[in-house]
Amino acid sequence: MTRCGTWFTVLVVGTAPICAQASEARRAIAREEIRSLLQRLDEALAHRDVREYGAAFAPDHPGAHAIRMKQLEQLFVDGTRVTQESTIAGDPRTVGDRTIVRVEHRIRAEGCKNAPADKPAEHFREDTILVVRRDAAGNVVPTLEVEVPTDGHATTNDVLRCPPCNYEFGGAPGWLCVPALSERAPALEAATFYFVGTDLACDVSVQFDSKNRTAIEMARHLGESLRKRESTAKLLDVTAWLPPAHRQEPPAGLEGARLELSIGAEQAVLFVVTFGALHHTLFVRGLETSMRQRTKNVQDLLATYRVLDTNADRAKAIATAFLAHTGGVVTGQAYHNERYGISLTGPDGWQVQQRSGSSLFRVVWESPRGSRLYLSGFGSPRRLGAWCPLSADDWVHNLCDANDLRLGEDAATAWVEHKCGGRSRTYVCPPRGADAPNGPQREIFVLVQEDLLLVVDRIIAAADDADVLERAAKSLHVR
Amino acid sequence: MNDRHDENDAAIGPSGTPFPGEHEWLELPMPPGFAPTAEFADAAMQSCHDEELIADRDLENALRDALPTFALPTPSSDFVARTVGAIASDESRRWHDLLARHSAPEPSPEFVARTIAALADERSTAPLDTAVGFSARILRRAWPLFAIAAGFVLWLLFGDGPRQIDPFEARLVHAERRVFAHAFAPTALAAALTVAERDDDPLALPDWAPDRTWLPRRTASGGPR
Repeated sequence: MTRCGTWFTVLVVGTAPICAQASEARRAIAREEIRSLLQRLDEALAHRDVREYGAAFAPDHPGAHAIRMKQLEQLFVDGTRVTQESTIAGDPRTVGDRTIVRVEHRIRAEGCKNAPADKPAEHFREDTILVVRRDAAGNVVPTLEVEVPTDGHATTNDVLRCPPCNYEFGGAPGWLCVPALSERAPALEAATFYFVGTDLACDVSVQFDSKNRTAIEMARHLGESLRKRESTAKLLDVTAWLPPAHRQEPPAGLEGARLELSIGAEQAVLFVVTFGALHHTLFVRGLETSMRQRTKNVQDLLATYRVLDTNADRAKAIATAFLAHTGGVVTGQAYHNERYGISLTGPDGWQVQQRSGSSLFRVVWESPRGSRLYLSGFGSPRRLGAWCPLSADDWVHNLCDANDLRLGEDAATAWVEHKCGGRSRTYVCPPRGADAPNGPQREIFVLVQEDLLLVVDRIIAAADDADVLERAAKSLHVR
Repeated sequence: MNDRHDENDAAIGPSGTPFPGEHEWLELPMPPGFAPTAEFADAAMQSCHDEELIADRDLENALRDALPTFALPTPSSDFVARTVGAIASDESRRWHDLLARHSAPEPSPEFVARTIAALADERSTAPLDTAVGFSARILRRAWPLFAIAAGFVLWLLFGDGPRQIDPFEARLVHAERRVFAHAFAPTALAAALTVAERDDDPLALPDWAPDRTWLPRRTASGGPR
């Protein structure tokens, strides 16, 4: 054989498998192949093997994958057996070499040692967005799995558009919009955009700022808050910034800020846009190399952000956002929530504000002397199904523990039944820590309904406020 | 050889007279009473020439008498080739020696450009089916593939696979109380917002929702209060 022939043979033999694998990796993924993958993952859970479940993934986003594994580990408490049946919900779609599909998981958890005798097994549902790709050998490999709300909270073409919150974001090529579970997002609304096939992500969050800070102050405040949780975080630079869509003609009152952070090998950029006291936060994050290489993709995404109504009345805009997401509205000193059938009228002359945490709703009245009245609503956890006095009691203790409040054994009154079907009791908290014994008195009233736990928290900073607070608490009306 | 600064010269001369250095010979005065003439020099030169002629004539006579006594050898078959080769080799060596005495000049930019252009023309018009040219082209064009393949093999042999990353989202889970749902949020922004909320209103009870697994975990660890 001539040398020409030898080289040709070497080249063909050497590159043929590579070409074949590349061709195999591009082959479209059929529904049946995804079903087969889901079956394998369900079997891993049936074997109580989260590690095997996780090992099936070739994670695009290490952070999201790690969190998903932590979530699944929580299913297996003290001997619990989990049976999961996963089905494809909706048509798969393709972005680059990734296939994206919504999956519905029907979960049955049983065998918990201390489960109530009348409820040996729990049934609940989880929905996830699953991203898969085909590897070089032709196998279907999952690369990302993120839990999403089961209530069908959907976006069109990966665009998140919320007229009550007065913004629109998303729709740039390659970016997948994944709405966040409301209980996991301390905000009015939240979602994460994943740049498919990479570790890049951008979180979107809408929240109300009770301190009415500027965008730069808010960006710095959030950066400092993150640093308190993650010691490797370094705040690099805070500058004024305007969304690209509004740079030509910035609407009056629109402010923006940009804060760069370094977090170990990762890098993040926090963008805050304020329009009144409603803040839109965009948090772009990823490995430093990805952030550098994908600058154009990030810019494409940021270019999609826009305020919908630039002439909106700011106070009205905030009220609209709260009404849409919590069901509550403040009129004068009265709070009314039609969605949950709640109303309460606070003391005259006190400042009243709604808050945007991850509870169903919260409103606070504050006196000039520092006394406060909080009204909060907590939804029942999905696996719990309904609140009961025992779970409510435990939850109140958890809230107090997180706030360094200690409830004594005899701190609570007896349970009282109400006409609405609910039951209530009041906890009296002794002054805490350095404030004792002259700190403010505190009384926490709870009303338990099946799907709602109401908490009325009174902080009495001045003796003169005690009666006023008592009257306000008694104005609570539950449908 | 004596040197201008040869210190031994002074010790060699007779009766304490310094022996002249080599560079001084031509400057020495004539011995007393000696006056060389032109005839003396001519006679000396002629004598030397005559001696050379006699020697040459003697050698010529000897060869003329001796050579006829030898038989002519039969030339070998490669005699001519060897002789021509020897002459060519001798010629080549002499050229080499001659050129080696000169340093090569730097090629001019015009010369380089002209040469590269000529090579390019030659390559583009060269027949594609010459084995050497084809192999060279394959090597030139395929070397990135070979380099990648070699790198991949080395990575498989000595690498430790993809870099293991400890994402900060995962680290944050450990920093949060797991009874709260935001502890399992797939973003660090949730943690930042909760800390910010606590800083803004430290007296308030947390405005955070229960995680779905809070109560089963609580039940498993001893039941609710």
